[in-house]
Amino acid sequence: MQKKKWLFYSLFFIFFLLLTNTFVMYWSDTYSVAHPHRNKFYTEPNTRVLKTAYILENKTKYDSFIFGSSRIGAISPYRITDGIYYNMSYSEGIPHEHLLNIKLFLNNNIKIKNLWIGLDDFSYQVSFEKHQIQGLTKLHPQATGTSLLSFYKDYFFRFPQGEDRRHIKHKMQNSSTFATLNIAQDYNLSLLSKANENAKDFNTTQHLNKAEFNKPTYYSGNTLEETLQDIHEIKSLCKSHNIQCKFFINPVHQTTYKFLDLNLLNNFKDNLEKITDYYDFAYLNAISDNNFYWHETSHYRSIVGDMIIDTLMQQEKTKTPFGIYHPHRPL
Amino acid sequence: MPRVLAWFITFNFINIAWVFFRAREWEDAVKVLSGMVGSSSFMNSYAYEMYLLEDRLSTKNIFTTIQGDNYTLKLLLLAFILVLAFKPSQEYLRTFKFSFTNFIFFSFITTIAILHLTKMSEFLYFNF
Repeated sequence: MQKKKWLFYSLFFIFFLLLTNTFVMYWSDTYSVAHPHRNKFYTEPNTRVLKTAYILENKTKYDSFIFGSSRIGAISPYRITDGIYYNMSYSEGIPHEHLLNIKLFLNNNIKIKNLWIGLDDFSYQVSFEKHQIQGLTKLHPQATGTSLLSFYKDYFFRFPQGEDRRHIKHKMQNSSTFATLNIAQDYNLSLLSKANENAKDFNTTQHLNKAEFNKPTYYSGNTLEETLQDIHEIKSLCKSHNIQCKFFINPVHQTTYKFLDLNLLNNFKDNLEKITDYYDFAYLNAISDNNFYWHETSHYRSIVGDMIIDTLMQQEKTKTPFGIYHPHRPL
Repeated sequence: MPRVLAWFITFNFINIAWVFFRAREWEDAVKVLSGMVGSSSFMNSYAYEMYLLEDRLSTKNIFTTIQGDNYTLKLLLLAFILVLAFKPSQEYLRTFKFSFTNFIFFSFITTIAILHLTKMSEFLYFNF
C-alpha cells in the first residue's frame, strides 16, 4: 500500500469507527439522558437530568420540592398536604447540586412555595466535581451552564466502559436489570417508594439478620466549608423568594453511625444551627437500631419516610416522637 | 552488572530525582519522598478500616490512594509483559510497514485513544 493512500484510508476508517461508536452509544444511552421517555430502563437512569428536564417542561405542575439524596426517595411527595410536591431525590445528591437546581428553577420562572432539603452524613464529604465526571450523577447542562455539545459529547463520544457494555448487552437481549424500578412518567416515584416496597416482607428473620446490615456505608473526604456555604446560599434564596424552607438530616443506620467521624458530624450540626433551624434524625434511636426500618445500612424505608413527614408537618416543633428540632441560633 | 539490578537502580534514580524537579519547596519533596516509602502511599486509613471490617485485604481497597481498583495489579502485570517481552517503540517505528495488518491495528488503536480523551467514570455506590 502506498504511504499516502494508507494514511488516507486509515483516517477514513478512524472516522467511520468514531461515528459507529457514537451511534451505538447514543442508541444504547446507558443513563437515558437522550431518551427520557423510555418505557423500560436497563440500568439506573441519570435522574438528576431526567427530573430537572421534566420540571422545566412542566413549570406550573408543582409548587413544592423535596431535595436530597436517594435516601429521601422514601419520602412520599403525595402525603404532604401544604403544596403539590415533587421528589427531587437523586443518587448521592449534595447541597451544591440542590442549590444549582433551585437557581435554575427560579431563573426559569418556576414558582416555589415550599422546599424540603434532606441532608446526609455525606453531604459534607462528597465533592461536586467527582459527580460531574460520572455519567449517573452529572447535572442537567442548564444547571451548570454546560453547552449541549459538550454535555452529549461526554456521554456518547467516549469508549464504552463496563456499565455501558452491560447496558448494550441488556438492550440487545431486551433483558432489563432495572425492571423493579417503577418510575412513573413524571419520575416522582423512586425505588424506595411504598409502591415499590409492597412486594417485600421486612419482618422476616432473613431480612432482619441480613449480613449487609453489618457493613457500614462509608464515605471519606471533607467538604464541610463549601457545603455550609451552599446551605447558607439556599437559605438566602428562600428568604429573598419568600419560600418556606425546611432542612433535615436523614436518619442513619446504627452500623453506619458507629463508623462515622462523629467530630465531623457534630461540627456540621453545630454550624448548621448557625445558618438555619433544622430537624435532626441522625442519632442512635429505636429506628436506627432496628433493621425492620431499613433496606440496608444507607436507605431507610418508606415507613420512616412517613415518620419524617409527620415530624416536619407537626405544628409543635419541640414535641416530636421522632427527630429533634434545632432552632436557628445565629452568631 | 546484572540487568535486573540495573533496571532497579535506574527506575528508582528517575523516580527519586524527578521529585525534586516537580516539588516547589524542599519540604514538599521530603513529604513526597517519605510518602513514597511509607505505608500511607500504599494503604490508607480507608483500606485499613475495610481490612478490619471485611477481615481480608482486597486489591480494590489497597489501591484507593492511587485511584486504583481490582484491575490495577493485572494492568501492572500487562505493562511489565509489554515492556519486557516486546521491542522498544523506536525500533518498531524504524521497521514500520504500511501493511493491511498495521492499517487495522493503527486505526483501532487511534480510535480507542481518541475516545479515551473523554473522561467519564462509573458511579461507585457507597464508595465501596
